[in-house]
This record gives sequence, structure tokens and C-alpha cells, in this order.
Amino acid sequence: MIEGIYIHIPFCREKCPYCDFYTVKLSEHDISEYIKCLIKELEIYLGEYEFNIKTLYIGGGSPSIISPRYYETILKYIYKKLGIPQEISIECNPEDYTKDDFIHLRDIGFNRVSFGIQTFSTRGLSILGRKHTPMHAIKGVEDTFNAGIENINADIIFGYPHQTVEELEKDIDTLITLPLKHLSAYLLTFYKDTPFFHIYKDFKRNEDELAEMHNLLCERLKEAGFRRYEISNWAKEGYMCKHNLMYWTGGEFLGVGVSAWSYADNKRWGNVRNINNYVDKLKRGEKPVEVSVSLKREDLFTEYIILGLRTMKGINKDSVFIPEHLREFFEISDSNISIKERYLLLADEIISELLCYNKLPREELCWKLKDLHP
Amino acid sequence: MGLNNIRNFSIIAHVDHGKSTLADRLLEFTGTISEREKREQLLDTLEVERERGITVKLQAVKMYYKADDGETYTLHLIDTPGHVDFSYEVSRALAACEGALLLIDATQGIEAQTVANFWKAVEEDLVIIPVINKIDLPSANIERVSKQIEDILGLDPSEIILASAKEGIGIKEILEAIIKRIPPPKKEDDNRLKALIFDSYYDPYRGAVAFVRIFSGEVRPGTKIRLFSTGKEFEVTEVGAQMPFMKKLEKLSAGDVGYISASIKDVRDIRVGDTITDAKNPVDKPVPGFKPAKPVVFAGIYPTGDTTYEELRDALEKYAINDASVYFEPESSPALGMGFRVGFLGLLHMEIVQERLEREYGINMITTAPNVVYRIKLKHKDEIREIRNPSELPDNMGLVEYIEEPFAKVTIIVPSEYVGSIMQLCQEKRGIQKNFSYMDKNTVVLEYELPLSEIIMDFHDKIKTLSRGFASYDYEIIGYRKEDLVRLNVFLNKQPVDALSFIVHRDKAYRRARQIVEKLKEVIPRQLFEVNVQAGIGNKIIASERIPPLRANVTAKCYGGDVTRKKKLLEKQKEGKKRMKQFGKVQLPQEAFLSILSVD
Repeated sequence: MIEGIYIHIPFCREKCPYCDFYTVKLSEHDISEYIKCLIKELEIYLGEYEFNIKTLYIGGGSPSIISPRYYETILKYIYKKLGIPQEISIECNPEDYTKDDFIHLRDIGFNRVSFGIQTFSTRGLSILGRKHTPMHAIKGVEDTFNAGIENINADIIFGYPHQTVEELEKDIDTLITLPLKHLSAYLLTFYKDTPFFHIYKDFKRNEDELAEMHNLLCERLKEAGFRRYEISNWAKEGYMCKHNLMYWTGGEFLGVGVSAWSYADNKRWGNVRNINNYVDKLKRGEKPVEVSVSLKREDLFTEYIILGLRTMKGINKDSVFIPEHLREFFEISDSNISIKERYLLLADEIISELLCYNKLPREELCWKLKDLHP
Repeated sequence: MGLNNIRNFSIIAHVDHGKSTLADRLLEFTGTISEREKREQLLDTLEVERERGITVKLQAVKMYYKADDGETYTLHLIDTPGHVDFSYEVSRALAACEGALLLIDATQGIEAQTVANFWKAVEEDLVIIPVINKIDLPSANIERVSKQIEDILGLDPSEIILASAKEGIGIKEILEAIIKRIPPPKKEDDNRLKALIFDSYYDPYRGAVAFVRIFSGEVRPGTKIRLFSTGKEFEVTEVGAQMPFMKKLEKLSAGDVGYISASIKDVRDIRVGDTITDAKNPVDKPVPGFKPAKPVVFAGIYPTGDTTYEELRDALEKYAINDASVYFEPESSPALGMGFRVGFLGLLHMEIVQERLEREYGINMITTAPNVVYRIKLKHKDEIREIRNPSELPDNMGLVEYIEEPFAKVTIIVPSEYVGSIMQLCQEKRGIQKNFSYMDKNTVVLEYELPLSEIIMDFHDKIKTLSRGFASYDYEIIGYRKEDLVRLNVFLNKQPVDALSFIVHRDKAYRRARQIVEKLKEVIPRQLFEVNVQAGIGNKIIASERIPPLRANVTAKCYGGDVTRKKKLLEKQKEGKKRMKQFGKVQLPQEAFLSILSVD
């Protein structure tokens, strides 16, 4: 049963030097044609899978560099075919939309806006190659709030080159004054094949400073009333992102658009990563799939561990074996185990070590990933 | 064909002086291989050898050559391995010949192995034909090399043949010289079978195959043979020669070189240097000079990753069928669990075995740092004990009357501009200078006595670095000497790790201790926990370092599109961890075990 839909909008004005998503320059492509293809792709899958859509998420790229009216087309189609999802999100650059645009978004059904703020430091924005100013960010959030969308998220990046602990502290100071319900704080990852990876290949981050930043985030956001529910995500009570939670708890979802991934029937598939191929395939009425991976029982179990342990809820404590030397990193409740908050910055190290000891679930718990989640 | 028309010879040279290329040319010139069959460097058969460009296994090829005198001659070219680890094999191959081509690179001149091999050939009473190779190269200096041959080896310069194996220059002259200068095999009065084994290998169809030189008598299928050293008897199933591919022959007789197979399951039954005779009518004395292969370097090999102890044992057993010079026995280490102590002829041999176990048998393993064989005499006990693993040395050195280590005589040939730094190196390595002489005005010959343990460490790399690759060396083991040696223990989080301990001269203990902890700090990745690295003599700590715990290793984003990639990333990290050896909480990578080799 497919519960969520992700729509990828690949257009950007310019590519950020740390981003490894598939994006294309806006000016070079026909938006209407792309939107038509998205609907065509949805149509192909409508006949094939059962749907009970709870969430819809429009991500990118930069979804906010095209007019809200394009989304009106898509949303109306979805409402007609599948009903109205509970949570409808869109990712925005702070500098793109006006208050009227946000009102438009609200009117067509969006109830969650996620801003790529990254930092309020002018120096930081320039290191990250972002074109907006701190004022854009503040105004964007306020306009959204005033347009009547109260579920607002801010994405921030920490641990970017040369950032100081004080700079992060200032970012947090500003963030907690804004009307935000949700916060994603990402430790900057230097992905291969991005300009950052090459520019900073000899750059060594001070791990102790990263740990200090992480502690600061934990403390300050908690004080401000945010509850952490995943490695990079915090929310006020009742505002966890349902769409993202679905990814971590084995929910089935359909991703449409160039380079989008889907998961259903124990299979993950990814679309072609070139917009022209994507459009061509759909024009011919073909699925734009490039790779498809069938998940065996052990794969599902591995994913269950990898994804589940990213969340504060964790995983069923009887499903895994935890060797003695790793116990101190885990919080154990009646039913679940999770990584202690102060060790979340080491999650990959802990999880990969745990995987050495867990090939298959200890108990006959599941075949479907979803069933593993309590 | 009578004995008068047979010539048995080897080519001896320093590594890279063009031995394999010359062998190829001889095969081509005599029509032994056709163009179609021609593979580059035909005599190097194993994949590992080909990649490393060196010859490990020697073989023997039969050729026919019609000489200028109108007669057709049978030539047996016996190949010799080019590395000092295999010097015993070289001496046995030479014992099977009456002559040798001494090949010298016109651009390099005489190098250490040239001299060492020359003397081995002289010991076997061989006729030596000096050949200067690579004369086509612009940097060739024929005059200098001729002078060296005259001054250092004492050979008559008029005997020198100028050649370029690559260009095919001088090949005919070489063949004619082989006919004219090398004597035919001596006729022995005895007609009982006496054959020297100078090589062996395992063939999946024939079983263990012996390469032999027949000194007297003959052997044919059906002959019941006896091995002199063990007394074991087998019935010959096939005899033949490499031409260059294995060709069955009716018999091998006195003067011949060829192979014998006799359904022998294990190459260890046909040891290089041993003598084969007729079981029904044996000779009284073997060919002199047999020495059982004696490993000089030992290291622990332990399974890791998905490999089990049993799989490692099976692989070693199968491997040993092929390589009689490798020795192994089970051992267990508190740090590494069950594994094997494996003996090798030298470091290169060790690397080859390691590579082949990994590549051909798919074994994941950890190899501990190699060590030489020490000898100790305990107080109030008469026996002398061999120490093949540093952990066998008693903790309480008070119980030990003395400890000895093997020494080697090292000959180094070095351009004079680098002689200072090489001498300093030898001094640092506890060397005793025995000789200093000029080979010509730009080249010095140094002779040192050095502990073998210092040679197996990083001597090779150091010599090459200090001389920009121009110095060459060769060594032979000369015996044991008492030294003031101690065991340096390495501790991780206060726990001794036996597999990291090593034996060192007391004067060097502090320096080595400091170096090893620093090196370990560098090679052990930061982990979830702090790791304390210490080194000490007994329990007395003399150096320590700390590896702070890892602080950050996390992928920030993991949404719908990231799952597959994320899983791959973590699986990769997991595989990396599995290849390491878990010691308590600490994971040790392979480099940690070999870090002892790279200190100093």
C-alpha cells in the first residue's frame, strides 16, 4: 500500500557546491512539459499499485523557482485520483516566493513549508555558495506564517568549513525566535562528485569542535521546546514530518520525477538521472526507471537497522544482538533500543559495527519491513 | 646422441639484467619455440612471477642447435631464480650444469648478485662465459663493464661476448661459445642411476614432478626409484623434457636434464638438492650438497573476515603441495586466536605466499610481522631452544643464560657518492664492517656482517632510497651470535598483544618503542573508544600514546533516495571492520601488525 508521494523538481538557478542531487538549469528546459510528464508517470503507477496517500512532498532542486500554478495542476490531479493527503510539503529557497505566493500555496492545499536557510551568517552563506541573505530567510518564514501556513521547517547546515561554534550559536539564537515548528540540522557531508569534495579534500574538520556543535544543538533546541526524533530532525510536539518518518519506518512510497526513488513490494527503484531521457521515456509511455533493486530478507533487515537506528524511537530490542562492547551506546527501553542522543554523531560507526554481528533478525519477525516497526 | 654433443648450462645475472629475455632469444634462435608459441618471457610461468617481473620457479628447457661445425647439439638451459631468498635453489641448479652464462647489464655494470652468483658458479667448478647485455642502449658503457669483469671477477676480457638480447645481437656467438667452451657432461664409470633434483613443482595431472640432472645410469617409466634423504620409493610413471612444453621421452640417461614423475602426491617428498637413485641397484653416495630447505623467517598467519581456521589450514596444505620450501605449524595467540606459524625462505618468499593464498585460495588473513629464528640457552638446562615467535621468549630474562640471533654477510656494491650514507645505515643496523674496496674508481664494494633481523626490516627500501636505486646487495647467512636482546611488548588499553611483540637489541629498545607506538597511532583508525598504545620491556612501559575516540561519523541525510546508497556505504564500512582483527574493544588493521617493519 503506497502511503506517500515524492515529487522531484530538478530545476535550480545555480547549483550549490555541496549539493549532489540531480538538478538542471531552469532556463534550459520546458517546465510545462516536465509537469505533464510527472502526471503521466503518476498515471502509469495508479493502475499498478494500491494507494492510501497520507503525505505528499515536493522537493528538489528548487521547487520554489517555478510558479505555484504548476503545482496546482499536479495537486488537483492527485486529489481527484487519490484524495487529499494529510501532509503536503514543499521545499523553498528563502528568496523565491512572495507572501502572495505562499497564500496561493496555502489555497491549493500546501500545509507545510520547508526553507533551505542553511545559516544566518553572511560569511557562512558565501562559503556555502548561497545567494540569499539572512534577511530573506527571516522574511520568508514570516511571510509563510502570515499567509496562514504554521507548519514551517528550517534546514540548517553545521560543520561547514571554517564555521565556528559561536557562529552556530548565533544561528540557533535566531532560529528559536522564528515561528518554526520543525528544524533539520545537517552536518555538512562532502559528497563525492561535488565541487566541495574536491575543494576541501585536504581539509580536516576538527572533530572535537563538531562534537561541541552537536552538543550545543542538542541542548539549545531542547530548551527551546524542540524534540529530536531523528539524527538530523527536531520538531515541536505534534509536528514531526510524517513524510520523512515514513522513509525510516518502512512505509511504501512512490517517487516521481527525474532521479526520484520509490519503494514498494520489497523493491527499491530509481528513475533515470537525465531530464531529457526522463521526458523521452514518458513521451513513449515507458516507465522512466533506471535501476531496480529487489530486497531480500537480509536486505530488509539491514535497512530496518540502518533506518530505524537513525530515529530516537529506535528498533525492536529483541530483533538484534548487541555485543557487550557496544551496549554503552544504546538506550534500552521495555520494547526498543536506540542510540543514545550524545552518540548520534557516531551513528554510522555504531551501526556499521552492529551490522557485523547481525545478518538476520534474531526472531522470526518479518518479511515486510513495515511489520518490523512496532 | 653421445655425451659429447650435450651441453648443460645456466644463465646467472643480477635481477633485471635481461636473463629472461636472453632465454627467450635462445629458444627462438634454436627454433625451440615458434612465433605462434612465443609468449613474452616464456620461462616465467606463474601469474605472480609475471606481475612482479621475477622468476621464482626454475625450470629446464631442452633445445637442439646445429653448430658451425656441422654437428647438432642438445642444449639444456636450466633457469635460476633471481632473488637472494632462493640462493640455495640457485646453487642446486648450477650443480646440474657444466657452464654458465654470466649476464651483465652494460648500463649497470657488476652488481651484488652478479658477484654472489659468480662465486656460486665458481664453487661448482663451472666454465663461465661473460656476456655484456643491452649494448644497444645509449647509456651502455662497455669499456667500464669489461674492466670490471677483468678486475673484479678475474676473467679474461677477450672471453666477453657483447650482446643485446632485446635486439637479438650476439645470440649466435653465445650459442657457439656454449658449444666450444663448456665441456660436455663427464662420463662416469658407474652405470647405476644417480640424478640430482634441482627443482620440483606440483602438476594436477602428474602429481609432484622432479626436474633432474642425470649424472649416471638411466631412468625410464617403470623404474623403481629411491629418494636418498628419506629412503622413500616410487615407481616412475613418466620421464620427459620441456621443449619448452612438457614432452614425454622414452628415457633419461647420463648427461641428460629432464623431468621425472612418479605419482608422488606431495612435493615435499622430492626435495631440491636430493638425489634419486634406482631402488633395486642404488649408488652408494648421493650428489653432495643436499640441505633440507630451512625457513629463515617466520610470521603468524591468522584467518580474518569470513575465512575460518579450517579454510586457512586447507589452503596452506594445498599451497604447500606446490611449494616445498614453505613450512607451517598451528599456533594460537591470545590476541588473534587460532592460526599458523609459517616459515619462509625470506621476505619476498613471504610476500609471494601471502599473495597466492589471498588470490588463488580466496583467504582473508592477517599476517604478523616476520621475525628471524632466535636461539636461547636457559640457565641450568643443556638444550638450546629455537625461538620462532617472540612470545616464546620467557618473560623473565633472568632465566636465560644467553640469546643468539642469526647474522649474515652482506655484500653491497654502491656508487662511491652514496657510500657514506650506506655505511651509516649499516652502522645503525649494528653492522660490522669487514671489507671496503674499490671495484673501479666510481664504485665501492662493501662487506658487512649484519644481524639478519635488521636485513628483513627495511634494509632493502633504505638501501634503494639512500642510493637512489643504484646500490645492490646480496647476503648469505653465516651463523648465530650472542647479543643483548630483549622482547618489546606492545599493550593496547593495558592488555599485552602478543602478536605485536618483537625482539630487539637492548640499545635500540627505547627508540623502537617510541617509533612503534607512534606508528600504531598512525595506522589504527580512531574508534568508538579511546585506545591506549604502550610499549615496554617486560611490564615496564617505556613509550605510550593515546588514540582519542572518534567524534563524528554520520551521514546527515537519509531520505527516500538515499537509502540504497546509505546501505552500500554502511556495508562497506562493515566489510572494512570485518577485515580488521578484533582485539578486545579495539579493531586492528593489517598495517598494525606490519608496522614493526617500518620503524627505524
